[in-house]
Parts: sequence; structure tokens; C-alpha cells
Amino acid sequence: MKYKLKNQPLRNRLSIYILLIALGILIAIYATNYIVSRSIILSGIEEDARNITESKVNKMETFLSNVERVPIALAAAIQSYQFDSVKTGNMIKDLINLNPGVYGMCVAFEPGVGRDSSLFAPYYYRDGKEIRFADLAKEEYGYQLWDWYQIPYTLKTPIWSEPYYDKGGGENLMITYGVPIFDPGTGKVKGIVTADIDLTELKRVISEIKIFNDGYAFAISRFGTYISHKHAPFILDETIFSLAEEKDDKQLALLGKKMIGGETGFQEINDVVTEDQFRIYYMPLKSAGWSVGIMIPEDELFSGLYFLNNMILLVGFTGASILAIFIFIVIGKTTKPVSKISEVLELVAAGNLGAAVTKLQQLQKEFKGIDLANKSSKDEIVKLWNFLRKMTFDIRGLSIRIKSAGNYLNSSAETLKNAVGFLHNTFSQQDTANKNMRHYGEEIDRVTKSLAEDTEKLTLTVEDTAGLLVKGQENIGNIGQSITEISQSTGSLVQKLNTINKRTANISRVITTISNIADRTNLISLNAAIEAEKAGDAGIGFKVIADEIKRLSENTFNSLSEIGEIIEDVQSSVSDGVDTVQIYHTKSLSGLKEIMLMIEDLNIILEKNKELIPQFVLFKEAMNVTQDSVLSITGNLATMEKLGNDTKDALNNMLQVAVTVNEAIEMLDNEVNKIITD
Amino acid sequence: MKHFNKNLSKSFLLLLTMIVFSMIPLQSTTTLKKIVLAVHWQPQAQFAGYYAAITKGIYKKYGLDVTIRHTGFKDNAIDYLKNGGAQFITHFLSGAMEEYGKGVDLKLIAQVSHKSALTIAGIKSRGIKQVSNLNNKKIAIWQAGFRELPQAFLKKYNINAEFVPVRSTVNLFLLGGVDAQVVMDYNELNSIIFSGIDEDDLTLFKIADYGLNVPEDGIYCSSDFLEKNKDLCAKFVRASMEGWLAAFEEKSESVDYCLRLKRKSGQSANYAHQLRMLNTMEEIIAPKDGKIDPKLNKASFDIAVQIMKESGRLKKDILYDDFFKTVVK
Repeated sequence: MKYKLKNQPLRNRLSIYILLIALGILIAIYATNYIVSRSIILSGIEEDARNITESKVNKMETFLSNVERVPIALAAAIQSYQFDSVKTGNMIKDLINLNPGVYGMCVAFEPGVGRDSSLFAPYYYRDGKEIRFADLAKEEYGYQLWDWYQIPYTLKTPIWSEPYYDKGGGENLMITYGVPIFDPGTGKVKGIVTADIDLTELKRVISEIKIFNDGYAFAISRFGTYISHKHAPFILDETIFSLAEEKDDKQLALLGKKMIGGETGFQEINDVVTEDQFRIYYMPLKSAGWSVGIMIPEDELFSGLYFLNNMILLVGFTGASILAIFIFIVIGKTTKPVSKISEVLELVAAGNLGAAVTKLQQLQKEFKGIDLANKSSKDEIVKLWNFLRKMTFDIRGLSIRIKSAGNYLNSSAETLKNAVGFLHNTFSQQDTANKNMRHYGEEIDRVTKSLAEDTEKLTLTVEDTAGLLVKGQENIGNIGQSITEISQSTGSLVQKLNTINKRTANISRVITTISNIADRTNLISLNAAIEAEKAGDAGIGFKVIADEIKRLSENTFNSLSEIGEIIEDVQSSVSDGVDTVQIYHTKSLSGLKEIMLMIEDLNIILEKNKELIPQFVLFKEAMNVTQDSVLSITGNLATMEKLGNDTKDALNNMLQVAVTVNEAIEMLDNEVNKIITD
Repeated sequence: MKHFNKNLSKSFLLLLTMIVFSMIPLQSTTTLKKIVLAVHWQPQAQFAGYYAAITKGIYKKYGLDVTIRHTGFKDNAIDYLKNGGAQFITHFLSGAMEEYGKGVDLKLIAQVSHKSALTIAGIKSRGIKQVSNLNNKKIAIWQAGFRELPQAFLKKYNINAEFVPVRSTVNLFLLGGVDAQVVMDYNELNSIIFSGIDEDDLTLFKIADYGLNVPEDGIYCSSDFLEKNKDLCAKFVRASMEGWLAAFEEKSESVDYCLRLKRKSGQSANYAHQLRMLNTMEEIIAPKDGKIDPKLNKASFDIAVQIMKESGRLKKDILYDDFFKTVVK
């Protein structure tokens, strides 16, 4: 389960958003303060470092230039005046005495320039309070190849030497300022006057520079050799470049290049021993070609800033926490009506309008502090409240209207139900009529069959009679009897034919009844269709059924017309038969009476008999037609029954639909009732 | 308790074994042959192999108790050989040949270096880019020695240059007082680089690469000593070569030892410089497949003789077989 902010209550969301913004502002303040303060501190410290370095460098420059002046003056003197070795020695001693910065001095000549001997280099130097002498003209010392001599000699310019340990000379760590003495005539260098500085003095000046607890200063020579450093083993042993190579520190090597290049700068650098982050300010000590660097530890430099920033963080977080609590409470109070209103909305959404109205009334009392009545209020909650109120009552009004519509629908459904019930009853009657009709049909069939049998028998008898007649008169006596039999048979035939006639008349009546029923069905289905139309969508199914019923009733009507026609045919055929048989019967009866009298007229009778036979054939054919018609009637009756069954199914469906519609209406009614009455 | 006793007895046995074994070297030191090796310069990584042979106990392994004497400032290693102050010395080939030519009794028993370290350094941005740029220029060089080979080089390329002797620093060169300086590529070259000169800005004429490869450091002893102590000489050479291999194996340790020696003798020194020196020594000594060839290359010898004769430092021919004696094959 992931915590999703957008699913949280408004109060939490707002609190979190506002708190995040507040934190953002806090971070921005923190960062801005850090960056700005840092740059202020850095520019401040750069200023301080420059001032300190400049003052120290100036101090050293002054110190150096004070020392430089001494050999320059002596060289000028030697150049201009007659050289005297004793005087020179005394002058050197006096100069050392007069110049406390000078550690030692020497006047060294090119071979042969000084006294008679080839080398001349008297050297005086301090030893405590004493001034001591050393003769550098000893061959093993070889002063001409020492840097202090050779470099100013070769370059023909005064120059400070690299720091060195003067073995066999001053026996001290020193730097020497060598000033060439030129031969005024040739312009050649004929010697060098030197003044030494004890490095301990300069080292002290540099190491005096203190910045913070761990800050320190150092100096490197023009070739990067450490002259002064907090870490003593570096002095003279390491150059900034050898150290950079050992520590694989490219930044240090780059710094070294800038420093020996005489640049002034302020940059970040790691302490070469502790690897702590430092700031360095460096500037050249021009006269000696040195560079002095002041190392400022960043942790101390920024300790005030770190403290300030920690305070900002502390105050900021405390403030943010208070803000968070405040926001939580205030927003909680502000959004409480919203949450209550959402409760009302929930009830409305659930259709519980009654409860919603109750709740609204209850809330109106609760929101005492809010001017709910003020329609022009800009307070969203008041607006929301008013909208909710209006909405709730609108929905309620709408539901009442729906209920009345439901009631109307309900009565329509009732009518529909009744119509269907009536239709059902009507159909039951039709069903009974159908059954009767089938019964009659079957009876007609049976009677027709027996009539056919009788006709067959009669035909045979007529043929027999004909045969007997052919045999002549010998059996005249029998003729009478036969005629009697015929008379009897025709009597029975007439009777039976009348029965048929009566039965068919019955069928006709039934058909009329069915026809009436079909008419009524048609009418009802029309009504049903109209009602279905009224019911709208709910009536669509019903309308289909009503149409189907209408179609069925029309089919029924058509079938009945057909049956009616057939029955009429049957009736006319039977009537014809009856007429013929009646005539025959009458004639045979009168004939019988006249038999005895009209033996002579036998031939005529015979003729008459012969005429009768084709009449029977016709009758037989009529009977066959009758039988076919009866079969057709039976078939039509079966169709009608089937149609009736279909109608029954359709009616059942319709009934079911009516029930469903009714149920739906009841549900609707319930729902609407709930909305209104709750 | 029983368990403890067992452990205790084990510990006791171990202790006893240790005592017995520790007595063996004690006993053997008494029979170690005391040897003095005089090297031809002050302590530095140029001799790291001999230091390693001592610190790693390699000489001891060969039955030798070696002491090293550093020379070069006020004395000369050859003097130690002459007056018997050392049984073995190291020396430059040319210097030894000169002394040999003068009749000093010495024999080369191992040529350790196989490539000349002599290099003429110039600065590109000051116009020294090719050999011809050296014409009519000043070239700083040590006050004593090593001059004949650079001279031969200049002669070979028909360069007319002035040699300016300097004591020991490269400051005159750095300040532009001279245009170039003859340096050892394992030593003064490092000083130049660590003075803030870009290596890219340096033009280096390594004389060995110009068909004038006269190798330098070798081990020498007197012919008399060699005659009487052939086995000892072989042992010494073998141990020294092993020492060199050990020094190359653990450079940081070797450099630290060199730094200690240098500081003890009051010389300024730094790690980076000595490490570069040791690395260059490895190139010069050129061990192959874990072996150092102690044989003097005959062609190099011949070039050396020729150059020495031309420069007048050799008055007459010397014979390879007389000068170099193989003690280790």
C-alpha cells in the first residue's frame, strides 16, 4: 500500500504542501545565507590575508633592501676608490656591526684582482656578539663556483642566492646577496661583494604570521624550494614540485607554478601534510624572487558561518514545526464544514434525501460561526452550503414529481394487466370453441365416412338393381321389395344428409363465434398497442406482443373465412344431394305405387334407372369432395389450435411482462417513497 | 590443566628452538669476512643496491660483513683502493680507465651500469630544441670529470660550445646564466624538474643515444686482491647484484633508506627525487629476466678508450681483458 498524497484528506494535503513550501523557503534562506555569507567571509578574509601578507612581505622587503644597500654601497666604494685589503676588512666588520640584519659579508675578487695572490675573499660573519673572520680564498672552498659568486658574476647583476648551507664558510643556513664589482675601464666583473642573511631571522618573521589556530604562512624560493614552513622537514629538502609529485597533488604543482611565476592569488588548497581544506593567499617577495603564502584553515574560517547556518536550521525547523501544528489546526477548523458538507453529500449520493435534509438542519445549528444566510458571501464554504441546500431540495422536488409519474404508470400497468387478463379469458373461450369445433369436425368426418359407405352401398344396390332389371321382369316381384328397400335407404340417406346439413350449420355458427372473438382480439390488441405506446420504453415489449396478437387474430379471421367458404360449399353440395335424393325418393315411392300398374312401363323405369346411375356417380364425387373439405377443415382446425397455443404463450409472456412492469413500478414507487418520506 | 601443560611444554620447545636458531647467525658473524666498499659519491639512490644488500642481509648470506664508505667531496674512492682502505670500490668507467692508464692497480670485476646517464639539458622556450642550437652556447658542466664524453658528442655534431664549470647546483642554468647543462639523468635532471621547469619544455640530449654509450658505475678491486680472493670477489658481485634486484623490488623501502642516509650526512633530500633516481638506475642497470649482467660491453669499452685517448686522458691503449676480469658468469 503506497501512501498517496492525493488520496489524503484536504487538511493533510494542505498541511503537507504548505510545510513543503515553508521547508523550500527555509532551504533557500539557508543556501542563500551560506553562499552570500561565504562570499562575504571569503572576500573579507582575502582582504585580511592580503593585508597581513602585504604588511609582512613589505616588512621583509624592507629588511632585505636594508641588507641589499650595504653590499651595493661597498661595491660602489670598491669600484670607485683605491683598493686596500686592510681597509676593506675593517669596512666589512664595521658594516656588519652597523647593520644588525646582516649576518656576514664578503668581498671576493677574480684571481689576481686583489692582492698579489691569485684568490682573495675575506669573509666576516657574526658569532653571537663577536664578528669572526674566515678566508674563503682557500683552494678547497673554491668560491668562484659557489652560486653566491658565480651567479651575480655570470649574470652581471646583484641577485639573492637560493638558500644554502654554507659549508666551510658561515656554516649556517643562509641566503646571500651578491653584488658585482665592475672594472670601470673594461666593464668586466672583477669581483663580488656579498651580504648574508641568517635564514632563521626571515623564517621567524614568516612563522610569526598567525591566522586562526591552525593557519600558518610559508615561503618558497624562486625555484620552489621551501624556505619556511610549519612542517620543518620540508625546509630546503623539498620543493613545492617534489612534494606535489610525491603526494601526486596536481593542484599543488599548479599553485607552485603560479607562485614562482610571481603571481598573487587567493584559492583553495589542501594542506600538504594534513590534507585539510585550506585557503591560500600568496604574493611574491619580489627582491628575493620568493613567494609567500598564507594558509587559512577553512573549518576555522567558516566556523562562524557554520554556527550561523546551524542556528538558521534550528530556528527554521522549530518554526516549521510550529507552523505545521498551526496549519494542521487552522486548516482542520476551516475544512471541518467541508467534511461535514461532504457527509451530507454522501447521504444525497446514497439517495437518503430525508436524512440529508435532517443533517442539513442539524448542521445549520452547528455552523453558528458562519453566516450561512449571506448569499453574497465570498466564503466558498457558505457558497458550497447554499448550493448543497438548494441541490438537496431540488432533488427532493424532482423525486416527488417522479412519484406522481410512477403512480400514473402504475395505473396504466394495472389497466394493461386487466386487458391481458381479459384477453386471456377470451382466449380460453376461443380454446373451448376450438375444441368444440374439432369435435364437430370429427363428427362431420365420421358422418361423411358413413355417408360414403352408404352411398357405396346404394351405388352397388343401384347397380344390382340395374342387373336385376336387365334380368327383366322375372323378378318383378322382388322389384317391389327392392324399391321398398331403396325407398327406405333413400329415407335414411335424406335423414343423414339433413344431419350433415344441421352439423355444418352448427360449424357455421361456431365460425361466426370465432370470427367475433377474433374481431374482439383485434380490438383489444389495438388497445393494448395504444397502452403500450403510452408506457414508453417499458411498453416496447408489450407492443410487440400486441402486434403479434393482432396478426394472429387476422390470421384466425382469414382461416375462418376460408373455413366458412368450404362449409358453404359442403352445404350446397349436401343440399343438392338432398334435393336429388328427395326427388328420387318421391319418384321411387310413386313408382312403387305405380309398379303394378306400370309393368309395361318397365322399360321406361329401366331407362329411368339407367339415368339414375350417373346421378349416383355424381353424388359419389360430391361426397369425395365433401370428405376432402372435411379433412381440410380438420387441418385448419389443427392450425387454429396451434395458433391458439402460440397466442396462449404470447399471452403468458405478456402477462409476465405486465408482472415485471408492475414489479418495476412498485420498486420505483418504493424508491421514490423512500426519497420523499425518509 | 593438562591441556595447559601441553601448551606450556610446546611453548617451551618453541623457545628452545628459537634460542638454538638464533645462535647460528651469532656464531656465523664471527666468521663473516669484513669488507669495506667505498662508493664514489655521497649517499643517494645511485647506490641503493649496495644498501639493500646490507639491509636485506644478502651480503651476510654470502658470508660478507660489508661496510660502505661514501666519498666524493674531499676524497676519492680510488684512494681507498690505493691505500687499502677498501677492498672494493665503485667508480665511473672513464675515471677508472684514466687511473688505470696512469698505472693504478685496479680491475673491473662487474660493470653494473650499462648505459651512460650523461645528458645535456636545454630549455625549448629558451631556444634549445636540437643539437645545432647548442652551437656557440654556454654549457654548464661539473668542475671535474665527465667532460670528455660531452666533448666527443659536440665534436661529433661539429658544435662549438663553451663549457662553464659549476659546483653542484642547476641554479645558474635555471637563471639563464648558461644555455644548457650537462646533467646525470638520475640526479641533476630531477633537480631541474623539481625547480618548476615543465618536462615538456626540456630538450634532453642523452649522449648514450647518440652512439656514444660509455657506461658508468662498476665494481673494482685491486689485481692483487682479485688474485687472492677470486671466490670472495664472485660472492661480492653476486650479492651486490642481488641487492640491486631487491632494491628495485621494494623501491619505497629503498628510497626511505636512502633518505635516512642522506639526512644523517646532512644533505638535503626528498622522496620524489630519490624515487626518480632509483627508477632511472633501473633503466641504466637494466635487469633482464631477474638477472643483472655484470659484463663490460667490449664495444662500449672500445668507444671509451678512443674518446679517452682523444681527450688525452689516456696516453696509450689499454686492453679489455686486462682491465675487465670476469668473476661471475
